[in-house]
Amino acid sequence: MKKAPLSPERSPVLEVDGLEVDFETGDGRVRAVRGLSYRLGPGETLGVVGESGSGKSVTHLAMLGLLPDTAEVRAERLRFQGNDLPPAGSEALRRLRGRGIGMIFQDPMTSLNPFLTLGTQIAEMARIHLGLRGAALRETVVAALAEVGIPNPELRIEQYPHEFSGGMRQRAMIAMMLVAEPALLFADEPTTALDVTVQAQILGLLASLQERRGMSIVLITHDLGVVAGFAHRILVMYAGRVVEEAPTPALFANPSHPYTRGLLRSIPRLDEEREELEPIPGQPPDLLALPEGCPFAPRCPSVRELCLREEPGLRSLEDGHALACHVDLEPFDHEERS
Amino acid sequence: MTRGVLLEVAGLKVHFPGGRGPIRAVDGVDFVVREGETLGLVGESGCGKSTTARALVGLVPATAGRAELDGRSLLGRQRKSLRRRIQMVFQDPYASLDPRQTVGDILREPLEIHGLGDRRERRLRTIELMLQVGLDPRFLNRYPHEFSGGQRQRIGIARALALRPDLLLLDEPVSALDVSIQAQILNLLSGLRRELGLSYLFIAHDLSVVRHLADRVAVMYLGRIVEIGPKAAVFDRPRHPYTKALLSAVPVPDPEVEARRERVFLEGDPPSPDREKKGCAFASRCPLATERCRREEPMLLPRTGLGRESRRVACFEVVESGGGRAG
Repeated sequence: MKKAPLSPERSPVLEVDGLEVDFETGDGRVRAVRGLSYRLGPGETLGVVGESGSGKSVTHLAMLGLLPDTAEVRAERLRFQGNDLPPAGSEALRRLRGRGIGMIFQDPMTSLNPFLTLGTQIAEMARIHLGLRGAALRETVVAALAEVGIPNPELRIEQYPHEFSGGMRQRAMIAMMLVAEPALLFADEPTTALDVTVQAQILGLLASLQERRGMSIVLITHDLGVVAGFAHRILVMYAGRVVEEAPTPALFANPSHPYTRGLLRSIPRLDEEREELEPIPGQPPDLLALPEGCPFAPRCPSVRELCLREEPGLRSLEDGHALACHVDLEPFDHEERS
Repeated sequence: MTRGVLLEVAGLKVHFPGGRGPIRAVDGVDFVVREGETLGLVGESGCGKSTTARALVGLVPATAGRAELDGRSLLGRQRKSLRRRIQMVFQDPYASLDPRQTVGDILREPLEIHGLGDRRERRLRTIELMLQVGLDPRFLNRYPHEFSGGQRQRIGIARALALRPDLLLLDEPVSALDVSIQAQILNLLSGLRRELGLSYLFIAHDLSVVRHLADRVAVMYLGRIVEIGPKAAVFDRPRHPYTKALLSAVPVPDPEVEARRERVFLEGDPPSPDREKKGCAFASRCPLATERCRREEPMLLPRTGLGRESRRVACFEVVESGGGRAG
């Protein structure tokens, strides 16, 4: 764990209040994100954890205006560095993407143009966002590749994406993001397609860049192990909502939502022997037909009658811990897991 | 106490033609799987773990070596009676089921091909298979797209069980599934192994999953096994420098553990499998590598003085000088 940064309540980099994202589909209206709110402080890393369909990626694509036209995005407040985020499709938002908020995605191969050299693609970022030309442009590109640990950057800028390994391509994407010097990075499953030793390299690189540059990071992932060592604070999402939010140590010391507990009990750990895993029964709900009440209720071992009628709102516990659940569970029993 | 050997693989090689020379996907692997045992085969992309399994069921031709099930060769032309004793479950339950077949068709097909039972018996068998993997037999007339990912993987497992095999080759059977569903399938696999007395060759890149399911583990790097042994020995006291680096890179969902851990970062990427073959494949990234490692290839051997230890390691430093003992 890294040292906790400034409190996000003071001069937050990002403020999200009441974000809703719906998709109009042939089968009906998909409610992908419902009433999502969070704050992100300068230099802070927020881990956003959830499974497919939890809304963790859609949330962030919505803020950047990167969703298709079938999406309907509403929010009470979306502010970046104290100013409202420009509307989707606007020139102002286009300028902000890259310069203000950088992005890296799961599969660097599909984010790169296979017909252009790496140097050309990174230079484009520096030219558009920083207005650099000529020798200064080249110098910036080479320096960025060196900063992300790509050996022989002068030679590598002449090469095409297919000449790079998966890990080196993700480093190149990070270099491309870095040249525009964003204050905030959205990293959406940045290591999911990579081998585990390469994942460790990339996470180490992101952590050191953050320390050097004071960037804020939102790390979107399905992997609780990845956020345990990397994030200051964690949001757990389920069926388009935040079900639990806490500083990383608190979340793992006392996971309080039955879904978070279920996840921790169901995943095997490298440092533990367990006879049986305790799976979460059933499957995530159909976002086209969300059940009444709490969307986790049909799978929940602690379900009450109230849960089937009324969806719980997010309520604050102590120490920055927040929970969307009607039930107060006993403190988490770590022994029960082994 | 020692269980009989079911599968024996020796010197297995799978080479593919490549522009710069042969691509050595699998380059001489030896291992056994005993009756009722799960051997975990781990390693990163391109290490040859899936190709090894595919060679055992004849999906790719072996270039050299032996592979025997109960003493009968699996390589070359397999007899049907032998082939049905070894079955495969694939990673992607979306791509490995024919979308135009009903579940009933999918489960009946192997029985028909192998001429097992009459119509009624086949129908009863498909119902039994559905129950064994935890699916409602009323869904036999449904198509794969009507099922979730986890349910589809259950269908893939039921299909593999149809011929009552002795050995299942499980190639990343849970890595395409959401975490909350993975545990359901892992528990199903443990239960089936117990109830049906199956043996598994379990291939996965997720070491936590392998630790949960396997009895013994083989670690592959660039077409070779670098370390093999009982699960607890390999995971708790890894010896090969690659095994150490691999294990230290696996994130653990516990911030206290993460803060205490020492990471062994590997530099660079694995060399290409069509590289000129010389010395130990891991030498270019190894913190212990000497001149000899770049010249000579180490064999998979027990450590000196520990002849009875069932773990074997392919590393001069570890085997001969007792290096790698710390940690």
